Amino acid sequence: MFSSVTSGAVSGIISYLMQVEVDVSDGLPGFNMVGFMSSEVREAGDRVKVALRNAGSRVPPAKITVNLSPVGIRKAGVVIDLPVAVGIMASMGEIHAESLEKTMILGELGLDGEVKAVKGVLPIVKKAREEGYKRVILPKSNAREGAVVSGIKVIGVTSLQETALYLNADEGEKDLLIPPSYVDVQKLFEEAEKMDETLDFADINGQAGLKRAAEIAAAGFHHLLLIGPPGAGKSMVAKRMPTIMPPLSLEESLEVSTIYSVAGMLGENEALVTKRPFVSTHHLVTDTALVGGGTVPRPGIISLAHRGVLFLDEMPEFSRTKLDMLRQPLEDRKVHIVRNRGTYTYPADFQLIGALNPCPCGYYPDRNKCRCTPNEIKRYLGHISGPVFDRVDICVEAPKVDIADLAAGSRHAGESSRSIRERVLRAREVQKKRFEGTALKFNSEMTPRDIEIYCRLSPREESYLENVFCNMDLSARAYHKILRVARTIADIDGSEDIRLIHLSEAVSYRITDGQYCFQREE
Amino acid sequence: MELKENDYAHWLINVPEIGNISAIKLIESGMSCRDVFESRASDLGGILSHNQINALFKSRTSWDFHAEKEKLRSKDIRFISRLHPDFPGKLLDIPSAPFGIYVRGKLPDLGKPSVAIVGARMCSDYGRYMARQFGRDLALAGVQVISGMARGVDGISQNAALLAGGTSFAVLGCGADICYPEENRKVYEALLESGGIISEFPPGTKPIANFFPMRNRIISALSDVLLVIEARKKSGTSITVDTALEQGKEVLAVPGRVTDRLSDGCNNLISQGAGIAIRAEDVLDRIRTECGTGPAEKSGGMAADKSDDEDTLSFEVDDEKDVENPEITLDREILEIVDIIPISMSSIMEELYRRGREVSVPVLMNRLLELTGSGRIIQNGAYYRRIVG
Repeated sequence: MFSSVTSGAVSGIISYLMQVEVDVSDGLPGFNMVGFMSSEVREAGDRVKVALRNAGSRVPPAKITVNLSPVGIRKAGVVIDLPVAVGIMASMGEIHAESLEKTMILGELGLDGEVKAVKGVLPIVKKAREEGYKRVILPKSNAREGAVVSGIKVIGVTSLQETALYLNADEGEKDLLIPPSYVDVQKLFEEAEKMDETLDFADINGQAGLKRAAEIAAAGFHHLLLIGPPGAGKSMVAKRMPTIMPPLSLEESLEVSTIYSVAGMLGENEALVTKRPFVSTHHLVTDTALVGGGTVPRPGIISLAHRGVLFLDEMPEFSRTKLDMLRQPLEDRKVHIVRNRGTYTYPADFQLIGALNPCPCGYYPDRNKCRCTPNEIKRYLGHISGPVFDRVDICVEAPKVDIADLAAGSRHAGESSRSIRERVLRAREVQKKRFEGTALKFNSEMTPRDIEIYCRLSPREESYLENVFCNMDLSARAYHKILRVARTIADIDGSEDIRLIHLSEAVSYRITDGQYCFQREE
Repeated sequence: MELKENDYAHWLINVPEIGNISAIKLIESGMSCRDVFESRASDLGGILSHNQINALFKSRTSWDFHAEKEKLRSKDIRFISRLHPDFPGKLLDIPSAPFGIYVRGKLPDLGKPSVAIVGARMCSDYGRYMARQFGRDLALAGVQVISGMARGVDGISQNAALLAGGTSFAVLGCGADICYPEENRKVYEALLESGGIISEFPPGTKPIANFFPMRNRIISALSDVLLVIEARKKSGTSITVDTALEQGKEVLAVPGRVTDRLSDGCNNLISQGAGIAIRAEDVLDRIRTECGTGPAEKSGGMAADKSDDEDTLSFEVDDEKDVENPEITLDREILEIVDIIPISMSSIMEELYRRGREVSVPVLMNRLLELTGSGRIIQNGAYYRRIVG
């Protein structure tokens, strides 16, 4: 007898529905799976047979054929245990076929019939709802994740027996048997807000210049580079960055959660990613881990930092090729992974924060400690290619901290993240209003054309900038960067026009321009 | 083509196996270089070794006078042997004197005072500043600045001297046609204009670390006074100091903080009795007592000092007038922090914070703008510094 069960899977970050068709018929006993699948998907057959037996259902000595449709998509890294098991039971008449209508089933099976968590639940459930499905049966540990999608009944199950019991129950009793999962998204966000208190900018003693740069970066979504000796607090600032960025909106949260869901990084019973991601990696990260890919494509670090912060500590230690891989994502805000089996696109709209020492030993220009030659310094900074430097709007020097100051303790706490965030939010509001009806969201996204429209200067400011331009021997690109940052500073200030003070502050965030390490050499 | 004694000298010093000592021995034995070229083995027996004589005979046949002369001419380099009237007298009697030198551009004017300025290649901002100050002020006083055109102090002081319109001479450890380090290309070109490049190595000689200490004796020999700007305890600069003392030259050192490793060399020299150079005038004084000849004009150095004083003076008047006004006191603190060494905005903030003064970035930017506007400090890119002199 034939039966069909709906399941789903993700390819890249796109989800699709999959029909698991099972036929049990007379013939030489055997178990056969077809439908363009990779070998690890095929293993499901053996698991299902044992799980069925242990769940008290007998696998009949008959010819069993399983087909995964559509056959046009290669199924790699797809888990189909529970749908296949349910399909066999339905074919044998152990489960009423009509209860499978408008129902999607997801889940992995243990040999004892236990139902285990799977990846990518959020996008798959979303797809099911779009396709008009009424109900989805999935592992209990994924239930909260699935329940984020409204308009579809999410049923979390723990075992194969329970699944059969549920499906065979009368329509009216089903909800009593296993109540549909429900998640209060609003409350989740409120809780996230409260939990955010472990890190705060008030923890950082001094370093007002760095904090200010972080504030501007957050307000205009500018990439940020922190240059300074070891122990100056560069990482401290970077880690606190998410605390001054606007809270994640539901829309953003769904995007981020989808990526984490696909990557299998949503924790058990976790419904949504509600905090802005902060992802840091060290320089030995592999290419695939950084941008994504692999035999079963998986989002990389840069996609996990989507809508959040990607922090690269000791940036020049990264190989040049790795940093250059960031160029395209920095430009397009997504990453295309092209493999011979297909092209996958993952979103990667992250804010880059890089920390680096000014020279290999870390102490330049303190010549008491640093003996690096100008060439060594040049080579060291040369690891970061020009195009990457070019995409960073704000470069700020992290002054060294004296031990004596640390010992003196915090004289008084600095400004808290909360109050900095308020200014950031205000500046974002200004940008939102300004860019209404355009594709732009932030000042950092302005093209030279947009800059002409939104960053008009009066003669006094213009002549100042001209002067700086000649003195610093700036490129046209750096010129535009100064204007973008000045625009954000003016927005924080609540000023309509870009004034001299905004410009000169923006100029002071260009420490790598011209010849960073040689400009003091005359 | 008529061959002059100088051409034979050029050949002689280029014979493999024959160095400065042997060549000088030969001419001191009464032979001219031409005599050496035309000599027989028996003439040289007492002076040269067997190997050297063989090498000499071999090179006699292979040496192409015309081509070698043409090579020098095309590179605009002169060879001057110690027999030549142009050869600087100062180099004649030093220990391990050179037999001849290659020159591109001019040779130092022996009638004018000259000072060698040397120091660390990887110098601090302080060293950089002092090198610039001394280079410029000495040049303005009409002193010729002699150095090695190395990275750091050498190049900076020579550059400053040239920019001030003075003359400067570089003694290189490679061929005079090679600019090393490449980053000093500008200085190299300017030296050709108003000064010269001197080397005892034939054109085309690659910069090899071993050759560099050798040139130091020529640097110190060409100068009347040796000025050390900044040096670590053990450094190439100490070789120059040693050769200078060996040659009986006066050594002056610029003092630094005791805690600065880059000032160890100078402080050490001072504690051993070297003269202290705080301003160009100190060096000029020493030259006057050394050679009895006053520098051509001595107003330049003084002028710079005077403006320095004025700056601090006016600035103190401000203090007394408006101690109450918080803006003025903030300005005062900013001016204390923003010194001759360029400093970034975030570092100024941190320094203010350290002094217990917390200001926001916009407030600081505002003050900095005012101060740059009124010409007290200048903004150089992302960095600020005081205007001096």
